[in-house]
Amino acid sequence: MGQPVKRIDARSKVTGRARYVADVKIQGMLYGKMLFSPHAHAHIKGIDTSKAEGLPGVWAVITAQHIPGENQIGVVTPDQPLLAQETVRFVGDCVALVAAESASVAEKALGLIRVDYQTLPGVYTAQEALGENSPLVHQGGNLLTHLKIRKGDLKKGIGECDILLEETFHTQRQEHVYIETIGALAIPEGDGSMTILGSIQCPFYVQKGVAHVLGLPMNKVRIVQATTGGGFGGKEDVPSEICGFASLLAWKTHRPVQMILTREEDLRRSSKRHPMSVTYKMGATKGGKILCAQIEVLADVGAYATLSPVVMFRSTVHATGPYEIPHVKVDTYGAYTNNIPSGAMRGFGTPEVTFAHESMVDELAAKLNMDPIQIRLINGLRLGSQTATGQVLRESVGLEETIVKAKEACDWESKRAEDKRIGPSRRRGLGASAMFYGVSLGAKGWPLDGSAAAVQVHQDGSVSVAIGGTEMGQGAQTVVAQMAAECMGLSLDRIAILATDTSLVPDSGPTVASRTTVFSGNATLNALEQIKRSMTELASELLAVAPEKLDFRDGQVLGGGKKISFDQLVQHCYSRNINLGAEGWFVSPPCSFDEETGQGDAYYVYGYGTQIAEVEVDLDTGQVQVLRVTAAHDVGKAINPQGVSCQIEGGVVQGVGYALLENFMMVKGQIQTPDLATYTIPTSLDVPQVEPIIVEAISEKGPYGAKGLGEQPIIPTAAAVANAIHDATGIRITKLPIGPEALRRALLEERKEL
Amino acid sequence: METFRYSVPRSVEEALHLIKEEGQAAKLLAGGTDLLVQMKEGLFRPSLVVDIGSLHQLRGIRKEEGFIWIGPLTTHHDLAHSALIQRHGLALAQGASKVGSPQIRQRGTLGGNIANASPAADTLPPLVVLEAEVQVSSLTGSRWVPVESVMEGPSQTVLRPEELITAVRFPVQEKGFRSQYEKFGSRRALSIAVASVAAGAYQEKGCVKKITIALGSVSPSIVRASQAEELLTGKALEQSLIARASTSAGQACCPLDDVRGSIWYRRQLVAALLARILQSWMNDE
Amino acid sequence: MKHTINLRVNGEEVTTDVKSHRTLLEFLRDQLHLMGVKEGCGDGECGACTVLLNGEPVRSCLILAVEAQNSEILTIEGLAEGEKLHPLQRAFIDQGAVQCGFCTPGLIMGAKALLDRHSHPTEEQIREAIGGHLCRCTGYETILQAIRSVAKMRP
Repeated sequence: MGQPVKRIDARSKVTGRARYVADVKIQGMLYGKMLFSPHAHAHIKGIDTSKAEGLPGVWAVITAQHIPGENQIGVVTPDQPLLAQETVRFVGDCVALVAAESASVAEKALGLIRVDYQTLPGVYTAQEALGENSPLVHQGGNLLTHLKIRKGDLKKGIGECDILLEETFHTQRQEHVYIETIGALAIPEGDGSMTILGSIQCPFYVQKGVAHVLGLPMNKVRIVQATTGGGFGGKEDVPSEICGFASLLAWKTHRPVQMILTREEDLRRSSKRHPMSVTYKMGATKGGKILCAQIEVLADVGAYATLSPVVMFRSTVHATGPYEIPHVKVDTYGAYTNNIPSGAMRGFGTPEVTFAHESMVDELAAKLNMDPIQIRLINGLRLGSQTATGQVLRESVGLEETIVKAKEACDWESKRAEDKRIGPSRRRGLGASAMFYGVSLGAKGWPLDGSAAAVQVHQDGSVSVAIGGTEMGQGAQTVVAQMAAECMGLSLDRIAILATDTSLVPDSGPTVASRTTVFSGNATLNALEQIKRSMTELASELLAVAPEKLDFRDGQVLGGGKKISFDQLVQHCYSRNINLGAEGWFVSPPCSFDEETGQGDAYYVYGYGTQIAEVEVDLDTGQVQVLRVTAAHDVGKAINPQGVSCQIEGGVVQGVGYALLENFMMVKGQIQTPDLATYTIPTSLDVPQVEPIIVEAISEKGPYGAKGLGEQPIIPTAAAVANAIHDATGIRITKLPIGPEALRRALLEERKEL
Repeated sequence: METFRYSVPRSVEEALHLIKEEGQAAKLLAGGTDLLVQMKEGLFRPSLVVDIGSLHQLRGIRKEEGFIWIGPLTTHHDLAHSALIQRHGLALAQGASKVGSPQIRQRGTLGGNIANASPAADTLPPLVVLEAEVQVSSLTGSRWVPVESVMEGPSQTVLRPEELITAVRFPVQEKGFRSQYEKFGSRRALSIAVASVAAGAYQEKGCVKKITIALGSVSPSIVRASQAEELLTGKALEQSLIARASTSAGQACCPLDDVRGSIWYRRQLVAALLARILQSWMNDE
Repeated sequence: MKHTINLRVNGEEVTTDVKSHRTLLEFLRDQLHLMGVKEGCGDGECGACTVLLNGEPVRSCLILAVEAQNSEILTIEGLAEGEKLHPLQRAFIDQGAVQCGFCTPGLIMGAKALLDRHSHPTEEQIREAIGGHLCRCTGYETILQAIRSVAKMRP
């Protein structure tokens, strides 16, 4: 525990043997395809599928009218038909599905479907959507959600400030670009049930969604996760749609149907990170104490709510950043548009506001002639601090340690003092950014915040662990296996983690929000403790040693100078019919959030982090190269330090992409970046050197003291880069991504001598 | 991809026969790095694909009769690593080394890059400044066309359906000639140029005797920065001249506005890239 | 239209019929069941489908299967000797270069081509060699480290 460990799934992946869903082919399998709307907003007047149905090799063509259950797949708000029926609301809406002998026949059949559309005026920005007389995306109005925080007395706070700054920031739509596209294989079983294998982040969402559209009870729908090639939030809810499509076709044809999205289909259908406009008014005393923050967040939700209400909740709670500010007013609005839906992506509403508040904090420091590290230390959350939601932090606050360690590791003081000019048209700069992140689902998701594990010790002493959390690359299985091995005193190779399967474990909620280490980990430990109790009881009898003196260590159970091997003890248990199977359960500590005041214990615990970026700016082209990022993150106990470092490195690089490069562009609801040649992510030649630093502020509720980590590292990067650019050039960029064109323009505008 | 007939000619003549008979519905397959993407997207639905990849006589680089001869099937990888090209046409080696990725450079060919006629093609501006010509052959004979005149617009060339590029050559320049290629893309690998500049010049005692400047990815085809060339000719490189010439080169861009950059920005880039080239030449003196 | 092709795949002679419009990627996966060859984009942008063709790294999604006539193909499945992993496979595990794993087979093949050509590549050569492979999980550093570590072990 706490030692770097090789991933348990690595061997299958380096040999090419790991089975992703596209690698599974079964006899008689058909291929599914979907027909997209060409319009961002239109009324469907009619659909003629007769020609497509007549094409040889086509086995089924399905439209909304054929759906046996309810045509509804919205995960939080019931606003999203699985197949568009009367209206299409974005270019990823699907109007028909085809199953055919091959993907190319299915593709050809799509071309034979005639859809008669009447185009409708649309809305394409959140601002437009909330304007008077704007076209409505949904009948109830374009405002989906409004969340508030009211803390202290804003007017009083403003009055007491020596300095008050205001600025609006804009962030862009970001795509996940998991390298494996979403896919599903739906297998209709003889008893009328449906088994689905898929590239899935949240199998229990899929189970509920598919049962709903097929009109089946949930015990007739079984979801098994295939090896999954990345998620980052993008496979949270969208797989319910794709699995829904595949299972409709399988239900209609009584044949297995595989549906593997092409990259272009995946980019067109899957949700993205929210584009946001965020206005901050922030004030401080001369001494650098931040007294007030007035924040307005406006997010483009896209055509359907998907997870937006929960994303907005996170933006709201984290809007002030990891600082104790006495007077706070936050208003967060999410508006429907005819763009691709915005949904879950790593950080879930936090990187957007972090870009804003960390830029603001640096601006305050600059105006006060104060070191950016200093202002963060003055205001940063610590034990006993009160967050914007009025939550008093009683455990595990590692922020200050992350700030100090990051600062020391990057040699902050001397580097900041160095000459920025390293050539006639090149400048270097250093920028810091801090963050916090509520672990797991918090007050808004509390009803989903329980997780299960089912464990059995086999006759040979090997252990199987089925968890409700999924592995999508982040290393969850390895961490759970490590905890199980530690708990049972066994070596790692005695533990097998099973593919997540809804028939093996009760609904464990989604695998999101950096919750799997804590939730699947605790549930597994809970199950193992039950088994250990039975084993200890028998060992105590066999060894004549009091149970409390017995310990599970090195493949043995020992104490009081006596011992028995684990395997022998297991055999004794079996011979006496002692049950060595158990189910474990873990529920989040209670959370709360008052809708009117935004006050409450929003999340049960928080992770903290500080990143410092060093950049080089080419003044002639506006291009920024991030040279180095020092990333210190408080993750609680790091169960697998190697895994933690890898997560930090990967998250930072996604953050660099978000800062400088990535922008999923839409114009009037039409996608401008339909493939990976136009939506570009960092390559090995674009990435900085990343120095991960692990800070361990132990959380007593986490297994062995762990907190979540997965999302943290992407959150502060963009702001650290923006602050470094400011340090290098004196230019404050308020819009992401900081593309070379925008920076060059700003350089020309603000620095006439260029 | 839709189905097609596929043939592998054993000689250039056989290839020419095949494309002559099939006409517009035939497509020549060399490295396939552009063609296959286009066929997958349905931009082309050829009835016949003529795979000329194994015509080894169309591959290779040699120096002969005062020219560097390049077989059109020479890959970007081979161009980038060729000592002959590095010595006599550095800009072309640099351009070839900046195409896509190692795997694309391994397959993609010079002839394919020319025939595909993308304004962003990394080999085209270098070929223009090297005064390269393309030998275009058909059953009725062959003709030489300057690279500068081959491309007529995005995906459009003077090549007729029955014609095949059979050679590319550029003159071995006299001593004092140098060439350089600079590309700006949004990232450092797998990138399509937002703007690119190639320049080739004779210098004598610090004085520019003759210079050719070609710009990529800033207009529907490769353009020359003639005004900048004029400004520089006969003068010694110095800061203010470089600045004037660079700005002037920017003006040679004619509108190509897309997701990768506005025309305004492309002008800025052209100026910066040309200045970078001239600056390095000046510093070498 | 069908063609008969002969080639060597992972050391074994293969003679089989293939349709003219099948890509090498489709052929390897659908006809030879070599599922370690991954499709991430189909457009030559991601590198997940990289295999070695006559020792050179190529994107199998942009090559027709018929073009592989008489060639020698190596995929990830042909890299280990039985259960004994290739040093690169070992290094990817040891350095934590594997997360979701979808880019891994292509990357290992790209790295193999590099090390076959340069036994002691420079840092720049390593970065360049994998520049055409997208990885969204690792941030590349552990992958670079894995390749460096194999190069370092060489005499």
